[in-house]
Amino acid sequence: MEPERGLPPARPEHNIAMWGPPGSGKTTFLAALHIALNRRQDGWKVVGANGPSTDALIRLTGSLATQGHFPAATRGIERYRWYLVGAAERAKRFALRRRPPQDVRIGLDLLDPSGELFDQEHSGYAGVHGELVDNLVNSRGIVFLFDPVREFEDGDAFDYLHGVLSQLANRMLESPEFADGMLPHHVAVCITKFDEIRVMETAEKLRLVTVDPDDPLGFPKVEEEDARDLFRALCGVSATGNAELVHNTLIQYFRPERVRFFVTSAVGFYVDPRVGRFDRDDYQNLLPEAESSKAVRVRGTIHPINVVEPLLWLGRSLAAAHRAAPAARAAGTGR
Amino acid sequence: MIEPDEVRKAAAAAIADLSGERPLLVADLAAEGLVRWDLHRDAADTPRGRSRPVIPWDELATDDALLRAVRTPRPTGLLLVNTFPEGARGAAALDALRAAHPHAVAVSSDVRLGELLRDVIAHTPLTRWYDLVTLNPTPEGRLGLGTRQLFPVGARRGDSNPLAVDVEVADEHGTVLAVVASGKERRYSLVKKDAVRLAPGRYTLDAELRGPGRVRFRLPDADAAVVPDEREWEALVASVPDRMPPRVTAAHLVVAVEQGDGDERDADRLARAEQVVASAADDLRDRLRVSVLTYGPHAFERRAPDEPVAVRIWEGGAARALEALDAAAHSDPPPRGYPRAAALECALTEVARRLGPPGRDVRTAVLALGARPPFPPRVHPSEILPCPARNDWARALGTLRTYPGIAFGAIHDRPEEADDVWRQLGRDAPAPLAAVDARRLAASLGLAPAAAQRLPFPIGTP
Repeated sequence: MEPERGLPPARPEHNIAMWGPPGSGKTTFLAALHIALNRRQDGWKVVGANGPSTDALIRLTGSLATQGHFPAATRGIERYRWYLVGAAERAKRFALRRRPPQDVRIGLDLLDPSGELFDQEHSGYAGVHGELVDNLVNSRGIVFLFDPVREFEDGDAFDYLHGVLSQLANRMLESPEFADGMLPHHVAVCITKFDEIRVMETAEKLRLVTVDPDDPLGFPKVEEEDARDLFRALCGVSATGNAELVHNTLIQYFRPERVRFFVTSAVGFYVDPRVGRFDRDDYQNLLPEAESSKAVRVRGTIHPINVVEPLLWLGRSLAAAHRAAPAARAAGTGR
Repeated sequence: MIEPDEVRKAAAAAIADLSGERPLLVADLAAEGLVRWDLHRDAADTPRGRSRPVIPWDELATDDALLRAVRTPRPTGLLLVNTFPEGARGAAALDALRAAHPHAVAVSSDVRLGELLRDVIAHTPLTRWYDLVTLNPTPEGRLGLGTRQLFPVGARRGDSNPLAVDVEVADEHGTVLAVVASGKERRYSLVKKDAVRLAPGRYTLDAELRGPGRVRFRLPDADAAVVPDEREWEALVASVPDRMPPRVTAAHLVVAVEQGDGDERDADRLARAEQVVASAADDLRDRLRVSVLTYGPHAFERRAPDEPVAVRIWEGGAARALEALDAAAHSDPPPRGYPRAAALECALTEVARRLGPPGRDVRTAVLALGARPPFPPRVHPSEILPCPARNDWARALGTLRTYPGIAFGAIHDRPEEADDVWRQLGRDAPAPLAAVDARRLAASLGLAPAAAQRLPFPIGTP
């Protein structure tokens, strides 16, 4: 990775690692993040921490937003580092001492090995795992991408999750943060591809779909408190049947209050520009490239769903945890 | 020597006496020798005759040889004609034969006996009723052989009888015009049969009697040649179906051809459509109306024009429809568009919208050629995007099904992979693109009766 320029490094406790099986849409998620932040207009932005990461951000975002093309499958290993930068919080009204405003900055690491490398059990795989586990050790927030369509067809999420988590636990065995046998991370489990029929219909069958009356597009959504139920239901139709173990594994390693589920979509639902609102009869936002190919491109405008929210939740959670840590440490010292 | 008219009278009398039991032998004592003519009546009571090779006078030098030349195995009428009166040998032979057969009629005249006999036979009045073989449907729809009277007993050469006949689609040889003869006992014998290729419909059939066994047919309101029919009578009768097939007097064939799969596949489909149209036109001629639509996939790209259906011709003649198909084959290929479906739902909706009230006895057939599924009207588990116009193939097909007597056909690239809509479209006439029997497919669509339903004879019209 190139030396970081322009921005000082984020504190490790504010680092978030992107994690998910190959092909689960990590780079697409980040390309959509840029677009989602742009649509929110609330001061948050994503910034490359180095030249290649900035170039990748420009390339991925332009390809997805302008040409409707998804990022090509990763070849070899790609390492990106971005910052999610938010507006500075106002100083407290009665603060005794004025301090210069400081941006809120969350580091976002993405280690993206190609699928082939993960298929090699002992060569590149081990190396990739090592680097990935380093990433996770140095983070306190994890975005775990769960692709239910891929899980329905391949069913390999558990294999991937289980191996990495075992190594992560092993590496953190000596850490005081692992004292209660639980990893210290906050995990945002992102159920991707909400815009696809099988996911949407599963949510509808479970009566988990709601519509925010204030949403000008009228998009359906699954509230955070219902997302876990959808996750379990989608795990139930895994190709291997192992996906049910994914949920249990997450609960086994992470504190339940630090795991949150989000139902997401990088491209969102299709919105007919003549109508301007979600249409239950016509919401697919992907176009196949060829009759017998799995390749797709984006059909209409991109309206990412729940792409920013997991990161902001992680950011806020990590900040809260960081604030609480000195007090905890102090309490520990006084004992 | 007597006049030729006397010979004619003698010949006419002798031929009038012909019967199945009593044939006639005519001995022509000519310049070069004796020519023997054997005449008889066939099963239809038509006088038939043939001459045998001439026996030179040198071989008839003795009376015994002369008598042997006119000997017959059974009782026979005998007419002796010396056609070379100037010759001594002929006169001597005539005397000798007359002496041996005192009841024989003997005449001398310089005539061409063969021509005279043919002429006499042609002018012989009918001794049987002559009828045209028809098919008579019962009120229940069953079919049986019947007859229409052409000429009564006693009718002569030159008599004519125009009659109206209804013709249905026959096989490739055409409709058979068969004449049968019958006597008092109403047992029919085949006199002759011709064939003529006609489009289904009603025609005036002019029958002119040219003599016993000779009936000439003309169809003044049809440009069609009447030719002798060489088929076996038994096979023709056996080909008559038990029941009257649905009446097809006119038809409207709607052809919807999928395009957008590349030049070769597109061209194959258009070529198959041409074959079916041409085949249907063979049978129905100008009673066939044809509509041609081509359709491709919808375009979902931003700002891309979405016009997947082109109506190339609507209810035009077959010739113009074939031109339209040819023009489609030579036009620019349609945009590739969405790869996994084609706007079959829009094509069917357009057909349902355009079809007017059904005409009486007009068969309507919809033939689709393609392979891709239609676009669903809304989000569908197939993940094919919905039709932008929200057209619903099932609804369009349901509307078309209410059309009286409509038939559906489908020529699919790979019938084993056909989905529900293609199976429904192929209800009456399914076929694979690689092997289409256009004639059979047209018949299955009711545009021409199937082989088992073809009617070889005219319908008996009162």
